[in-house]
Amino acid sequence: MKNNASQIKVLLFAELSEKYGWDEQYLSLDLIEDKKAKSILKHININVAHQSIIVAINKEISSLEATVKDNDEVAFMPIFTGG
Amino acid sequence: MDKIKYKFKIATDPFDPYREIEKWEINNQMAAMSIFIGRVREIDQFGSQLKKLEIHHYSGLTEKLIEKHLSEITKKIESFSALVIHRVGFIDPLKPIVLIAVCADKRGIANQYCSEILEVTKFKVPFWKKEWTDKGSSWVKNNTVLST
Repeated sequence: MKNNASQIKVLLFAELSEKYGWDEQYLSLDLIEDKKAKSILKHININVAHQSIIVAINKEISSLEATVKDNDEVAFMPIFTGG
Repeated sequence: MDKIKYKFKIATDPFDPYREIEKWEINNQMAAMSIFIGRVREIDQFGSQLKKLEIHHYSGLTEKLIEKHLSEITKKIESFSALVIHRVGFIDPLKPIVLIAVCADKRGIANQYCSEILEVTKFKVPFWKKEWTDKGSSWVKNNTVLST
């Protein structure tokens, strides 16, 4: 549950969500020194090849090198398989 | 009244693609129309009989990415309209997953963009497929490549 303003919302989808047992959590950005998406991934112990992860920040496709701000929604997704 | 240039819909329930096309055509008749209907395969990625396909998506981003793509096409092509419907949830074998109907004034444009929009739904939009068989379930790892 969100309880202060200096947090980010982290989302996992599909196989990632199933593998790690959660789909949404709030995290203090203070815990992420360089504020980069790839460091968030490491902090939450998601251990998958970076090339198999797609990142979205605030519902915009982004990258693991992107910098995250307070209140951002950061989604980590497996490769898309629709259509 | 101006024509609606495109419509994208996430379907949580089964849909009849032909009925959807009929409704769409009332206000979107042009000289050419290309249609793609994608259905659930009967066999999973490992060769087992499929019982159900489950499709997940990222609500909000899915719509945004498809609509952005459709909007970009309308900026390039004056005589273009498209209907795109994509299922989510549990789907039985051979039932429709996706419908793409593209109207244009030339067959080349209709065919080209019908194919292009399909590839966007496969590779550029956050949908994920999970296959269910008697042995359990498995996530589809990679999309099939375009081949003839």
